[in-house]
Amino acid sequence: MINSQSQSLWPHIEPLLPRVEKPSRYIGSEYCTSSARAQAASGNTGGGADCPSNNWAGLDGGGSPVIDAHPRGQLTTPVPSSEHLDVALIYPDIYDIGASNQALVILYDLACRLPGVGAERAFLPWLDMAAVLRERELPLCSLESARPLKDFDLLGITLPHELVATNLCELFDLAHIPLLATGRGEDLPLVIGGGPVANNPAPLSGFFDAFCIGEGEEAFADALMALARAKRLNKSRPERLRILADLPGFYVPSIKQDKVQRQIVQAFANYPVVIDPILPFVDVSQDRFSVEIFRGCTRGCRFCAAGMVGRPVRERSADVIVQAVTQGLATTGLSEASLNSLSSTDHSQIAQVLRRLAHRYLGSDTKISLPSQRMDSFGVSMAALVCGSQKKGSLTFAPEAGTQRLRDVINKNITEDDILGAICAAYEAGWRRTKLYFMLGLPTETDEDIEAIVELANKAYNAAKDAVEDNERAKVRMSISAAVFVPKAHTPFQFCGQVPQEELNRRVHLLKSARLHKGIDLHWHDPSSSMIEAVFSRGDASLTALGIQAWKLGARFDAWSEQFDLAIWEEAASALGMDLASLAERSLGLEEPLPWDFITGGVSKEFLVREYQHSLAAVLTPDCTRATCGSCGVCNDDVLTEVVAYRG
Amino acid sequence: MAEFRLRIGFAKTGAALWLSHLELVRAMERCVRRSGLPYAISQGFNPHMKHSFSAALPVGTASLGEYMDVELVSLVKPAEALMALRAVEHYCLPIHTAEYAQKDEASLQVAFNKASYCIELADMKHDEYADLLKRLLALTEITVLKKGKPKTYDLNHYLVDAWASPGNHTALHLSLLSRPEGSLRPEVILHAAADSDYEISITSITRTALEQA
Repeated sequence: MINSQSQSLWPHIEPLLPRVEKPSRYIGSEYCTSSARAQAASGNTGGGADCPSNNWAGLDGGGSPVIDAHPRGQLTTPVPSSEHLDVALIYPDIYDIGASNQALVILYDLACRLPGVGAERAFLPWLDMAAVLRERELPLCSLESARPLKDFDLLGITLPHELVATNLCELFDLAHIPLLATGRGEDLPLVIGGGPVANNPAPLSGFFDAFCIGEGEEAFADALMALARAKRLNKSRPERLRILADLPGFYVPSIKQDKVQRQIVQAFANYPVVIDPILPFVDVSQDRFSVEIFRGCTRGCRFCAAGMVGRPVRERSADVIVQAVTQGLATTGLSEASLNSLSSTDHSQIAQVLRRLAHRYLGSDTKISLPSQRMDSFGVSMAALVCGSQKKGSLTFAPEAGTQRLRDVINKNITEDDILGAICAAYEAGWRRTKLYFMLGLPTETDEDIEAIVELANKAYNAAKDAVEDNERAKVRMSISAAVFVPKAHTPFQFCGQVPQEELNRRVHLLKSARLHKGIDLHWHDPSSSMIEAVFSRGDASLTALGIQAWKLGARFDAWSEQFDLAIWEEAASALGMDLASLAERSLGLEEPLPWDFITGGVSKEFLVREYQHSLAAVLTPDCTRATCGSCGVCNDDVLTEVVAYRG
Repeated sequence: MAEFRLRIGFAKTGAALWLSHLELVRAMERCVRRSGLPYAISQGFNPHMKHSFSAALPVGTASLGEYMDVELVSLVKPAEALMALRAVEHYCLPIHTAEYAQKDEASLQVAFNKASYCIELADMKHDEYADLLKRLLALTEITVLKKGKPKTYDLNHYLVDAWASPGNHTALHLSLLSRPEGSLRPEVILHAAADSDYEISITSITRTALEQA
C-alpha cells in the first residue's frame, strides 16, 4: 500500500545548492533534530532539572540534556517501514518564515515522541529553488531525510493565513501530488490541514483529505496513533478517512458530517513546553526561544478571531514559565526568550514572572521580550521590568480605532486616557519610539473616525514630548500603522461585509493627507490583498477552484506584498465567473446558514449575534476574567476559564 | 577584570559547508552559550558575546581548521573547556582544540595569514591534470573584477605552494597568503590556469589548514 522504500534525493539536491540564494534553507541538519527526539522518547535524556544558565560553576550539576543530530543519510528518524506511520509536517511558506512557527514546533515534537510514528518537516522552496527542482524534475522532499513528500503516509499542513491557497497549489505541484484530494489514489499520502484558517475549512476543502479543527496537541496525536494502527492493518484510503471522520475534531470533506467539535486542550497549563526546539542555522523570523504563557483571551475584541476561537483562557504557572525559559535558553544557546500569548501582560502572574527572569539574566546578554503590551501604564511597567536600562527598541500599542465610539463598537475597552497614560509612561520610562496600530474599514467607520486617528496620534506625540526632558525632545519618534479590517468567521463581525476597495483607498488617502506631526511616520497596508483575505475568510468550497486558477496564472507567495498581484486574482475570478468584490463586501444575514456553522464548541452563534448587536449600539462587554461572565457559551462542565485571580 | 582569550579550533563539514559566514558565527555563538563557559559580554548599547573569527569562508567551502576566539571572564582549564564545548557541539561543526591565546598575540585574521586548500576536480585525464598544475605554477599575475573594476594581483605575493596528491589525479592543493591589500580564492587561480582550454568541474573545496606564514 505504502511505498516505504523511498530513497533520499540529497545526492541530487546538494549539487543544485550553488544555484540558489541562501542554500542553508534546504540543508536541514539543524541542532537538535528528530533523532534527538527519538532518543528523548526512549528515555535517554535526563532533563527536568532547572538547568543552570550562563553559569560555569553549575555545569557539573544538572547539566542540560543535549544529544546531537545524526548526519543526513544516517538514521535521522525511525526507519521508514511498513510498521511506522511516515509523517511530514509542512509550513506552506519558505523555511525562514516557517521554521519557528509554534504549531510546527509543537506538533513535530509531539509526533516524534509517539511510538510507531516517524516525523519530518518540509517547507516551500523559494522561487529560485522551485525553478531548479522543476528543471531537474525532482519532487519536493522532506528536510530531514530528503525523501519525496509523495512517498509519505501523511502530510500535515499548518494554515497560518487566508492567502495560503496558491502556496498549497505550488506545494502539491512541486511534490508531484494532485492538487485536489479527489485525485489522490491509494499510493499517495493523506493530506490534513489545521491551524487558524481551518476555522472555516470550506474554501480550502478541495485540497485536503481532512482538517483538524481547533488545537492540535491532543486531536492530532490521536489521529496519528489511529492512522499508525490503520497502516499496520493495511487499511485502504477510504477506510482511513472514515477513521479520521470518527475522531473528535476532524472534518473530512468527502464524508457527510453534521457537526464537528472544535478541539481545545483543557490541560494546557500542564502540557509540556518544548524546551529543545530545532535550532535553525538560518536567521529565521522569530529567532528566539518562545514560551506560550497562556492560551485564549477574554478581552473580547469583536474583530479578533484568535480571541474568539481560542477561549477559554488557560494559564501556565509562573514556575512553569520561568523554568521553561531557563531550560530552553540553556539547551539551545539562544540569547532571547519571548513570552507569547494574545495579550501577555494579562497573565495573572506576569509581574512575578518578569521580575524573576529579569533578576536571573541581570548583566547577561540575554533578552526577554514581550510581544504585546497592554495599553496602560501597567503594560509599560511590565515592559520596563525586562529591558532594564536598555530601552532602545520601540513599544507597540494597539488602540485600533481613533474615536471612543468606534473603540466601543469593537469592544476594545480602553479610553483615550488609557492610551495617553500608556504613551506618557513609556516615554517617561525611557523609550523614545512607540508604534500605534490602527485598523481601517471597521464596521460603522466614518471619516470622523479616520480624522480622529490623526488627532489621537498628534495628541499622543505631544504627550510624549511633554513626558521627556527638554534635551530629549528631539529624539521622540512615533509611528502609526493602519491595517485593513478583514471580517473573520466565528467573530461577531463575521456578518459584516468588507468596505469596497475604492472606498478603502479613499480612506487610506484621507489618512495620508491628514496633518501628522513631522516626527510621526505613517504606514498603511495595501487594501488589495486584504480583499482576497476577506474572500477566503468567509468563503465556501467554490474557492478552491479560485485558488487553483490564480496559481495557474502565476500567483504564489501572496502573503509577500511584493509578490502579490491583485490583477492575477481578478483574472482568475473572471475566468470562473466570480466577482471578488461582491464576495468580500457581502453582509451576511444573522439567520443565514454559514459555511462554518457546522463547527461547534467555541463561542456560540447566539453570543456572536448578541455581540454584533451590541457593537452596533456601541455597548461594551467586559472581560469575564475581571468582571461578570458574558455567556459566550465556551465554559461547561469540562471546559472552564481558569483565571480566577482577578475576580473579587 | 581579567580576560582570557580562548582559541577554539573547529571544522566546517557536512551540511554546514552551505552556511554563510554570519550563520556560522551564530551557530558557534550558540554552541559557546550552551557550553556554559563564562564568556565576556561587551558593555554597550547592545551587549553581546566578545569573540572574533578567522577569515570568512565562502558559502559551499568546507574547512578542517577554523578558529574562533572567545574572551572568558574567568580561567577555565583548557581541557575542561574543550569537554564542555564538545558536549554541545553541532556534528557538522566539530570542535578540535581549545587553548588560550597569549595576551599580546595578534588577532586571528592577522595571526593566521596562510591558508591551504584542497580542491577536488571531477573527471580529469592524467596529462590534462599535470598540464593544469604546470600552467598554474607558471602564472604570474591574475586580474579579477572587484566591485566591477579590474584588480591585478601579483601571484608571487599570494601563492606559496601548489602540489598534487601522489597517485591521485582529482585533487590539487594550494597554499595562499592573505595580505592586508587582499586575498585570492583558490578557484579563481584554478580557473585562470585552465583559461578557456580546459573545462574544469570543481566538486569540492576544503580549507585544510590555517597557519602563521
